[in-house]
Amino acid sequence: MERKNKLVIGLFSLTGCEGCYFAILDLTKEFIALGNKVEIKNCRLFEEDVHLEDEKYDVAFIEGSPLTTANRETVKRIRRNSKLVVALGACSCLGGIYHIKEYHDKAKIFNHVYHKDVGIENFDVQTLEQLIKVDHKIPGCPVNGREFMRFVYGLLVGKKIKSVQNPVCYECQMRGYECLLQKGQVCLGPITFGGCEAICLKSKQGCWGCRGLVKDAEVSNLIKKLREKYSDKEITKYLEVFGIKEQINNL
Amino acid sequence: MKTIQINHLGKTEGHMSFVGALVNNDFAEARIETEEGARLIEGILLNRKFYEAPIITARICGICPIVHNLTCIKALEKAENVQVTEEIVVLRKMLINAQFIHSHALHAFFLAFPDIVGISNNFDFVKKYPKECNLALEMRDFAVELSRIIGGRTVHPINSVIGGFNVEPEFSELEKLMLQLPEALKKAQILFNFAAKQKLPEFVRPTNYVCLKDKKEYAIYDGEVLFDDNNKLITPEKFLLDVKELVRPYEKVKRVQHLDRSIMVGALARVNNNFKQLHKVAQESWLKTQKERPCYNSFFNTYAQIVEILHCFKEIEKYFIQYKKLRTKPGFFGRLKVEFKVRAGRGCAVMEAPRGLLYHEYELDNEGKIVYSNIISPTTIFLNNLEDDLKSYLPQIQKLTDKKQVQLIKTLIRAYDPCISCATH
Repeated sequence: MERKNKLVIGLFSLTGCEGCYFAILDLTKEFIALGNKVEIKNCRLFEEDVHLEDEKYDVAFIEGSPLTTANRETVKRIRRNSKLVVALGACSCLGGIYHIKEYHDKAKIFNHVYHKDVGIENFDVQTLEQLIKVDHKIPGCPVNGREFMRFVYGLLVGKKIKSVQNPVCYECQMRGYECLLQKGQVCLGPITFGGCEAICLKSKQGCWGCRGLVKDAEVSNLIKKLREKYSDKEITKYLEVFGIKEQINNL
Repeated sequence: MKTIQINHLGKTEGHMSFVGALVNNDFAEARIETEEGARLIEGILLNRKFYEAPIITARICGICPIVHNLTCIKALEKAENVQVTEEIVVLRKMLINAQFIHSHALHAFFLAFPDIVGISNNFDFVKKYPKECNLALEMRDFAVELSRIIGGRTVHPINSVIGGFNVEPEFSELEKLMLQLPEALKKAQILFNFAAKQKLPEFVRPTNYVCLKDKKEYAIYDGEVLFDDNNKLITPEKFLLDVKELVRPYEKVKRVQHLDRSIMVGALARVNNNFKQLHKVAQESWLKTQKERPCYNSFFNTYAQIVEILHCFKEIEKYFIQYKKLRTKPGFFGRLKVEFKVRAGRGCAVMEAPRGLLYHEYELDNEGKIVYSNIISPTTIFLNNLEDDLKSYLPQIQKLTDKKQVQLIKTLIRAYDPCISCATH
């Protein structure tokens, strides 16, 4: 069915790996089909025309970290011109792995890479929400492409799909994967917001919380369990990788 | 003095702009400016545990996370003196070949090819060439699916770790997918023939083609570094003796030079240097478009990528047969992961990424904490060569209309398949 006024979707990416867009593009046929139902704008990997952020969008998806002055200005313009803004992926939801910089000596890290002051911006890593109002978050590193699709198709029928607040543990057990926590490994599954289909656990990789904290997460229970085998210093390292530590500190 | 500026060049991985100026009739300046922020990946690895590195470095790039993950793993295995089994190597080679196919397919058919047929928006491209696009997508899907089965996920692999693989890739899925390989290869051949019918811009500039060389096979996973200007082979450990990474003021991306000169890496470098080791079907295809070797026309990088797609399918076929045999031997499951004791050490590794040589180097202390890291990505290596090409190309096209000039510059830049995310890690 061809709609007269198609929903206008903007796909924006700031500094990052663009992996979230590949997670969506890799659904190839579904992505092409979506292109027929909605108007996709600013998909840099798909079109050459530059759409200034000053065009109007029904929904703007923003992926990546606002790490340059230009990035920061862009997100503010997108906000002004969009009805809905969705933070896409761990970078915009939590700060992404680059956030690790915040836990170490920032100058030392910078000098290791560039050896000297060469006039390059080195902002603190911020989430999208610290800069603009965000209406919805689709977390994950990378996102689960199907979650993105569900959200867009929901909007097409006039619903703002809310993600169900289940921990990764729930999705893991449902699929019958082996519990790594029971085996004595570090897994943040009990406190992490599900929706990833426990994909890491399928490959026996403990959850490191790339989707952030689930609502009402029982953090202290998990820490207590982890302390049986690990020092606080070791546990903290795991909490830092995707930035779930920050969320715990803010509880 | 006439200047040409292209802001926010689309259809490349990462963000960049181009500035060029024709100084006189046969001399031009050209510069690529990157617009990614500083992520400082090498810096944030410091003081982190070694097992975080393959997970963190995969996130350098969403299009080629597998090769970052694997190169990082190889470097760490060298530092830790981990000897992996034949089973692990074969699986890794299947994984990296899958990475080549889906990265190349995306670039060749959806980022570079629309340039060749003069279409700027891919949704229009899909409408005009529905059959070819479908073939390209279906062919790419094979590789995406293979990376999912072996790596655990399509973007940012999970299953591939230091010492091998956490779990055995679901064999029934693998077997079922392999049944589709002949069909996927056929699609790739049809696409190559379609692509070969198009005319690429003429351009010649000899340069130094650099890639891995392995006596046994077309080198991707392993080998020594070959510099074609002097036919010299060097080990990964000696790679940085003559190759230097330069930091320039106000530039987030570093530049790489070999003895003060630019070098070229990537599909064209590999096809030029290792042509005889390509599978027959790939060799024959290449010869349909280009008789001379080395081919000094950088626009042909896109054809070289499609030729590699054909080659990679044949490689996957070969490795799967090998893998199937290994799988029937007793003790197979125990050989998918090698245990090791953490020690202090230093190691580096070079692997071919879809865009060319990728270098990772790490030093660990005796607790397995990373105390040094260095990553050099292919786009960093070829950026100077791209600028040298542009400098030489601008005077040649000065008589054309501005619009046509801009189009050709974009086409040349995109033919390189630059990945600015990788370059500004």
